[in-house]
Amino acid sequence: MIIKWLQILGCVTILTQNINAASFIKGRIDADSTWSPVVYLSIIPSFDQLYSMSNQMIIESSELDEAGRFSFETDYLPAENYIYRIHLSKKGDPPASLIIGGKDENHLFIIASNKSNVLIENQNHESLFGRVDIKGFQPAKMLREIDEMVLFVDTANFNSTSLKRELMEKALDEKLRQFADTCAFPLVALYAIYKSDFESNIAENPGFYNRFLDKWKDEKSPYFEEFRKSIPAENKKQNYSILFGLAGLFLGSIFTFYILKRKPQKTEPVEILTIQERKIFLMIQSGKSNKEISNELNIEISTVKSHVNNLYSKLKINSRKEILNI
Amino acid sequence: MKNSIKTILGVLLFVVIGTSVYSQEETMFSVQSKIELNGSSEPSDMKIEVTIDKCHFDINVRCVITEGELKIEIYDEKGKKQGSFSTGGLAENKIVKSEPNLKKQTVKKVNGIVVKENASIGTWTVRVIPQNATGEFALDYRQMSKNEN
Repeated sequence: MIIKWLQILGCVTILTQNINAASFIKGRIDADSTWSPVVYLSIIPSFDQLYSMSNQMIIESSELDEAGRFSFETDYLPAENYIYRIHLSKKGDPPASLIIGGKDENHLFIIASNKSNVLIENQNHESLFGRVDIKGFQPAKMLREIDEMVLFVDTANFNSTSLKRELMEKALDEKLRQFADTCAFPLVALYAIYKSDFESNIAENPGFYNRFLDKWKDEKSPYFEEFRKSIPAENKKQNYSILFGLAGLFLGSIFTFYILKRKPQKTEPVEILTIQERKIFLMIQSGKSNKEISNELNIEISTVKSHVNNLYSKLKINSRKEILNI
Repeated sequence: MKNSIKTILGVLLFVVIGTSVYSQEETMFSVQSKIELNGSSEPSDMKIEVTIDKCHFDINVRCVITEGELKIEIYDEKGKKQGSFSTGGLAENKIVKSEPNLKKQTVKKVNGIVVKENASIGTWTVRVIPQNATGEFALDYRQMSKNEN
């Protein structure tokens, strides 16, 4: 009996832990004494604001305990996936402090919703978020993969020519586009595109971005709306011009079809005759006899008769009177 | 008096320290400046020349505003925005919950640092956009390059 109660108690404890563990962003940050022991959570409402900072963007803070642990409850976050930023400030700096690039970069991007669990563990490294392990919510993990790719190229030491750096950056952009193309999470895929130099690539590779938007055409998040607007108007015009061109071709084909269809009806009697027969046809219509035709065309009368017979046969008539009615 | 002239007069303190340190290991050039905003200052662009190729380059901005709002935008030599820092709202925050301690602030502060390793030669732009802002804006930047010898 006691064992049964203990089993039930155990189940309740596990269940309670799971309930408590639901919907959180928490982790451990190994920050040295130059940092204030407070972690801030900010919402990034658009890709244009990735590297923006203001007090209004900060939605919550959590003090680091002695072990460097912090925790945010996320039940109040939107149900849709959004990008969030976690950052620390240097001692003496205000909470709204952002360091972009370099060894002292003070922030980390994650994706979360009101249902997601994100666990962040940083490891000893010369920079605050230089080596971070993200567990739990798969899109947040994949976002970190992208940041690590970008960080690798940003911090790589290029002692030789700038050509080497340029090649490396182009290879990174290509890799990010491949990542975006195959990623199953739309916001992560879009993040990869934003991390590549997509603005300068749109002109030379518009098909890729159109296909990408087509693939995620049902995505209505503000991030996708923002990206759709960033596709240059020229590309849209180009698409419209293709549509207009196809429509014109279609209408032109219909018009030509009707012209061709109507034309034979008008010219059928004359068109089926030879040049000589047409001359004779017109002479008969003007009331000339076979002899007059023979003299005028300078051909034998028997030849005229032969042409007249052919003419009758082709026009399916039997007398000169019928020629006058055509 | 025109607002632009007021802005110039509003620059109560402008300190420029240009330091060039030449040693076997490193060349450094740094500039520090401070601008006071008097409430009628107008938007302006500050140009920063990166003169050392493939150098370490960083820009540090610090804003302390008692009234109004101030927004700073930093653009690299290609005109691409590298950072944006504001004492006010940058975008509508649709989440009702917000950090309560920050809402109470009467003096609004925001700091931003943009670091670029292997920076290319060119002109960076710091766009200062005050809106009836009274307070102080400080800007420092450095270029550092390792000598080959």
